[in-house]
Amino acid sequence: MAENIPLEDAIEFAENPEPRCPCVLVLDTSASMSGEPIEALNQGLTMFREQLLKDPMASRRVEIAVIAFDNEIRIEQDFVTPERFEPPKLTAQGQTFMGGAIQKALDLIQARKQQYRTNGVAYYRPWAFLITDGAPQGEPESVVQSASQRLKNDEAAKRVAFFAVGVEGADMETLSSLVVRTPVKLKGLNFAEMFVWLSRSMEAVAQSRTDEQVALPPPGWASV
Amino acid sequence: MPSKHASTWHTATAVVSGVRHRRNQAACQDVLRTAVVDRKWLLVALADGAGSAPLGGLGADLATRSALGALATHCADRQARTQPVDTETAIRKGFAEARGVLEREAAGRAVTLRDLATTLLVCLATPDWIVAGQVGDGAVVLGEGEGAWRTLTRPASGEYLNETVFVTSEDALDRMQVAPHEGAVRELALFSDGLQMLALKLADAAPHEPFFRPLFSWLSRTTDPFTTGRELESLLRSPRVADRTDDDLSLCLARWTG
Repeated sequence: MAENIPLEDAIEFAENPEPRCPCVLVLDTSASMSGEPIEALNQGLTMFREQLLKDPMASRRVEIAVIAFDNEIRIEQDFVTPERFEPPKLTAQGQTFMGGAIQKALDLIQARKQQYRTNGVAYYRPWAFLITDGAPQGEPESVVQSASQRLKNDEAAKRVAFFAVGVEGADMETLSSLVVRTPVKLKGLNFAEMFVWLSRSMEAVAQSRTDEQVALPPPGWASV
Repeated sequence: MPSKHASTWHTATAVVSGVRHRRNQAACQDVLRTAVVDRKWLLVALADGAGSAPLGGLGADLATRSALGALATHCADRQARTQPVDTETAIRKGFAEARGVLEREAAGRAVTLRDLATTLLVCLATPDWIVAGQVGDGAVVLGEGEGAWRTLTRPASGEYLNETVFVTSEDALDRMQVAPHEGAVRELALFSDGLQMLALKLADAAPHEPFFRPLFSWLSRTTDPFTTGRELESLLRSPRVADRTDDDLSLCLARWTG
C-alpha cells in the first residue's frame, strides 16, 4: 500500500447484511369484521407501510408479514421489507379460528429466524400483533388451549413479543387469558393511529441496544 | 530492525462519541485504558456504558479502572504472571472484582445495579501468549504476524441484536468469554460494538481483513503516540464511518515492535 493514501481511504468495511426486525400482523377477518371495520383495517395497513417508509432505518430493517384468519388461516403476505409490502385487500367472512392463527404466526416467526441464522443475518426480537373483534370460535377448545400454552412458553423464552388489540365487541377477558401481555382496546376504528404508533414502535426497536425490550411511547389510540 | 532491547508494545487508541449521542448531547460512554508493564506486558481494559443506563458512563469508568488495577496487581507478581493459566484466573477474578465495585457504587448511590450497566473487554498480552476476557459486545482481534487475523472474543449479543449482556447482568459471569492463546502475539485490536459491524463479518465474527490490514500497516509506520491517536480519532470521525454507525466508537490497536 502506498504510504501517502490517507488511512480512511485505505480501509474497507465489512459488508454485513442489514439486521432485520420482523413483525407479524395476525388479523381477524371473521364475518363480524365486515363493513366499516374491515375497510378501516385495510386503510390502516396502507398507512402502516407509508409510515415505515418515512423512516430510513425502519424501511431497511423492518419486515412485515400478514396472516388473516376466519374459517381459514391464510398467509396474506410472507415477510417483506416495507418497500415490497403490498397491503392486501382483506374481506370478512366466517368464524374466528384464532388458535390456529396464533400457531401459524409462531410457525412463521420460527421459520424466519431459521432463515436469518442460515444467512448470517442479525435480528431483533420478533413482534406479533393480533387484532380481533371477537373471541376464538369454531375451533376445538384443545386447539385454542395448545396455541395459548405455546404462546406463553414462547413469551417466557423471549422468542416473541406478542401484543393483542381488541376492536369494539372483542371479548377482552378471553383475550387476556390467551396472551401474556395485557391486551389493549382500540378506540372506535382508530386503526390509522394504531398503525402509526406501531410503526414508531418498530422504529424505536430497530435503533435500540439494551438488555430488555424498549419502552414504547404510550398509545393514544387505546382506551383503558 | 530494532534492537531486542528496544522491543515493546506500540499502541494507538481513540474514543469518539457517536452521532446519536452528539445529537442528544449525551456524554460519550466508552472508556479505554491501557498500560505497559516492564515493556513486555500489555494491559488493556475497554468498556461501553449502556446507552439505556443513566450512569452507564460511570459504570464503564469504574469497570475499566477496577479491571486494569486487577491486571496490574497480577503483573506485579513476577511468578504468577509468566503463566497464561494463572492470568486466566486473574482475568476471571478481575471481572468479579469489577462487578463488586459496581455493586458497591450502586448501593452507595442508592440506585439499581442496572443503572451502571456496561460491557467490559480486557486483555493481558505478552509477545508469546495472550488472554482476553469479555462480557457483552465488541471484540478482541489477534494477529500472529502473518498478515492474518483471528477473533479471540466476539460480540455476545445473545439471540437478538438489541439484547446484550452487561457486567451488571445477573448471568454476566456465566456468559463471560475468556480466551487464552499460546503463540506469537504481534498485533492486537480491541473495539466496542460501534465498530463491530465494520470490522467483523458478523455471521462467524471473523475479522474483515481489508479493515485490519491497512490499520496495522499504518501503525507500523507511525511512532509518535500523539499524532497516531489524532489520526485514529479522525478516522473514527470520518463521514465514511459516521454513515455506517451512529454509536460511540472506541478502538485500541497494539503492535509488538520486536
